[in-house]
Amino acid sequence: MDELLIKYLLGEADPDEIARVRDWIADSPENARRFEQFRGVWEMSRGVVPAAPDRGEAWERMRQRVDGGLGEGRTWRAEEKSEGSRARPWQVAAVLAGLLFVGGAVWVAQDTERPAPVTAAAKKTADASTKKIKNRQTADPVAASDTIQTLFAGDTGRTDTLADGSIVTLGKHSQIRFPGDMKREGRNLFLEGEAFFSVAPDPSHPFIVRTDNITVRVLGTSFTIRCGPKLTEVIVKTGFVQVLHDSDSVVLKEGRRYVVQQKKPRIVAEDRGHRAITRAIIDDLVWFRIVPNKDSLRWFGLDNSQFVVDGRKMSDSLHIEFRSKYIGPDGNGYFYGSPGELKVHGRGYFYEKKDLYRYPGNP
Amino acid sequence: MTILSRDHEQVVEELFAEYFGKLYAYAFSMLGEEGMAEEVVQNVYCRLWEKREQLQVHTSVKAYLYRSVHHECLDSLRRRKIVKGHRSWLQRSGVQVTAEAASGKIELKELEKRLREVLDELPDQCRTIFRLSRFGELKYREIAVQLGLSVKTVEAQMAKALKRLREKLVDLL
Repeated sequence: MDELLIKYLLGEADPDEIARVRDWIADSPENARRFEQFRGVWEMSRGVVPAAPDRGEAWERMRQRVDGGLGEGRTWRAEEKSEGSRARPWQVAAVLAGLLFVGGAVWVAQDTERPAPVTAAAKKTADASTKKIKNRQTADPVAASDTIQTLFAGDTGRTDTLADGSIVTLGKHSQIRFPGDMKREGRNLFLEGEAFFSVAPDPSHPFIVRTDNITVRVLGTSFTIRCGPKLTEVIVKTGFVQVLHDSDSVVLKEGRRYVVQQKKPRIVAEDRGHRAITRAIIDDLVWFRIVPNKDSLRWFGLDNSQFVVDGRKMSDSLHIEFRSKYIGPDGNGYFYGSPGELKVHGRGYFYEKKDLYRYPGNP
Repeated sequence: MTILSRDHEQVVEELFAEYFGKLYAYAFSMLGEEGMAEEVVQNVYCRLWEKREQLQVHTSVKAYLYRSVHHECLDSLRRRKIVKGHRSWLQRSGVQVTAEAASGKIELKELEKRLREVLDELPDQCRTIFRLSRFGELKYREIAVQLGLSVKTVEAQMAKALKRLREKLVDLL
């Protein structure tokens, strides 16, 4: 079965094999755990290799080399860490708040309380929909793209689905820029202001969000980023993430935290055991995005289209498989609360963060 | 390689946009050094650029690029081995050798170190296949063509590599 799991994981399985693997994974928590272990090492192994240098800058270096007559066999080196995003890729200046859900979803904000104002030009078209612009001279890495798309939000914020299936919710007066052809040019985004990203999993195309002073690289896992004026921390909930800060590059595994306080980074272990898992689940349930697993849906008698939380329809991509994500000591998943304490939305009962905090024994 | 006769600069730029990141990752996985990895990839693209009008490639451009980077990495490793050998001879001879530039050092964290150790322990063919898949992002079929193997062999070697990784790193999961 391992060979088949690996084929499935690498996108090499045919439809029959995909069905077989999915059935097998759903068969027991042990099976799901085994698959997660393969997925874990696969994701983790990508972290051995650092993010590639910015492609636009690398191309310019190559052109300079060719134009300058530095041909084959000549000594030449990339000017590492000299400027731009490579020079100071991970300087965290106290302006990011974040969350990430299953499959990869991250909240990135430059200043959560006072969103960075967009440029005058952006304001002018603040409520316009997607706009295509030509720009090859600006400093951010996205500018290497021939066609840049810019998404603006006006006074109310907006939610859109990107070409790769990722969902972005922009805070008011915020904007993102990204290549017109993300499949060809990579999932690189540049953000001004604040945004919540629900990232479509695609292990072969990392989802990278840059701001002026920080970069977040999603390896297809779940983690939380919190940034404030004095403290920045990345907490890994499941799988692995790559955190780059100044010249530091660290692969963090589940249950570890990367903390930057007064510009000094350190890695600490999360508390183990029930309390830590409880806290991890609660962290996952921030905002209104409270998502039951498929069993819960069945139990509530709902289908995906009826699944509504706080008046918002939830999509498949937001479903969190709590049972496989937070496996208990006896192999069962964790469940919290009881229907009697919960709010009714349509036909279903859903937990809210405050309900979980109210539950005895929770932090 | 007929596409290179179309608009040479544009084609090379497109090839750069498409494969630079993957080739860089693949090169880094072989060399373990960022500067060298970029240099190797640049070398291959420079060669493509300089000989763009007379270049004859009998396989796909993609296969050509991967094979070129692979050979360039091997050359680079050979040169590094010679330099290292020379340095250790100097040290044995009592000659003071200055430390390498900080930019050339690789600071691997524990997890990455363990991973790299496990990868290094894999048999040569298995490791090459794993690198082409994981870092070069090639499909089984493309790896098979690249290495002149059957798809079944590639599949078996990938399974072997991942099973070994899981077995050795399960305590970290």
